[in-house]
Amino acid sequence: MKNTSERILFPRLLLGCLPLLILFLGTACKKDAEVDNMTTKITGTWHQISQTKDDIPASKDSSRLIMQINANNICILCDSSKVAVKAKTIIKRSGWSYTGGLFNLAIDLPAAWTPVAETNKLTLERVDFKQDGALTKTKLTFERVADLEIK
Amino acid sequence: MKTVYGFFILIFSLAVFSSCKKDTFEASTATGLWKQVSVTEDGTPMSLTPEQESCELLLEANGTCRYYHQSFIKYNNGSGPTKFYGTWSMLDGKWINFTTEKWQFVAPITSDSNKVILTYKKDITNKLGIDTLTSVQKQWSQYHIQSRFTILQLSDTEMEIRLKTFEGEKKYAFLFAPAPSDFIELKTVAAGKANYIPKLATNQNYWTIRKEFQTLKTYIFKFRKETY
Repeated sequence: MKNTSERILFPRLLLGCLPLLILFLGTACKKDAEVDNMTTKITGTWHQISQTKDDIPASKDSSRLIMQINANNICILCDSSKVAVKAKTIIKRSGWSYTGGLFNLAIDLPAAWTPVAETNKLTLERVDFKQDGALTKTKLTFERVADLEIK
Repeated sequence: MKTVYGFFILIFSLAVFSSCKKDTFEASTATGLWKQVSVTEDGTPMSLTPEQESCELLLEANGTCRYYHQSFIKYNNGSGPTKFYGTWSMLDGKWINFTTEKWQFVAPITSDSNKVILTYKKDITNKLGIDTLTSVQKQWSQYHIQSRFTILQLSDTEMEIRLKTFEGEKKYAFLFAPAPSDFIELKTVAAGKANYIPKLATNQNYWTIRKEFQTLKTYIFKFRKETY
């Protein structure tokens, strides 16, 4: 009698737990998919079209007028600043990753960028402390250009 | 009847699971901008200087932590460093770890008379005086360390964390803003190097500092979340 009721109860309990298991698995897969999706979206060659500081238009950030984000986690920046041009160091390489919803560019750490990626448009936003303790928001907007080999 | 029992077991398990979850904190709640509002030492509120009261932490989801305080703002003719950084992580939803800059007290003393060994130099009037900058660089060793705080409270508006550590570890570290009187400016360092270091140890304060590194105290830091 006992064995019979256990035989009935156990599958029912398992069946009850099944939706929870599916829910956990589904959530885990969703997070991985989000990371993969963003990684795919930001990979490519990007041309900077504008910069804003606290939503006020500012001159472009010359340290990264062209940015190539490669799938191998290497990012190549074309630095057109006067210092780089004079020192002949216009090509800069840096590692990158996407964690916690942030685009981490080794050259910029500890600051990280919040990316918003569309098919042909990429917006990067970061905050930094000013000397008085207030936060300033920098936003860079890029458009996708044809992949090119940067040497 | 057995099915009903099974159902109750499932509900009971869920209830237990949910109640356990409330004892821990979510790492996502910790991200954001936090302003330090109070610090207590063994239960007594510490009086903070305006430079320390300016302390803010910016915790980001990738594990980086940026600190702001004005403890050294008067250095470099009023444009001293105010921004510092480290990392943060949460452990088991109960503890929060921060890495910060710290200084170890390594001041040499004479073996016979326990006097602090200092470096001297002649000034422009040819008078012999203490070479403060050279001396302090031999007395303090800078390093980074991880401090583990117990989370007492963490919500969308408040964070309260507790650390039991040596008084000296708190004073001569960025936990989270040091008192300006405990540090001095290094005026001759190369560009890009840190221009701050703990104060000079002399025969008058050597044993006080040594005692600070042997006295355990409990600190509770309270922060308020800021919007940005």
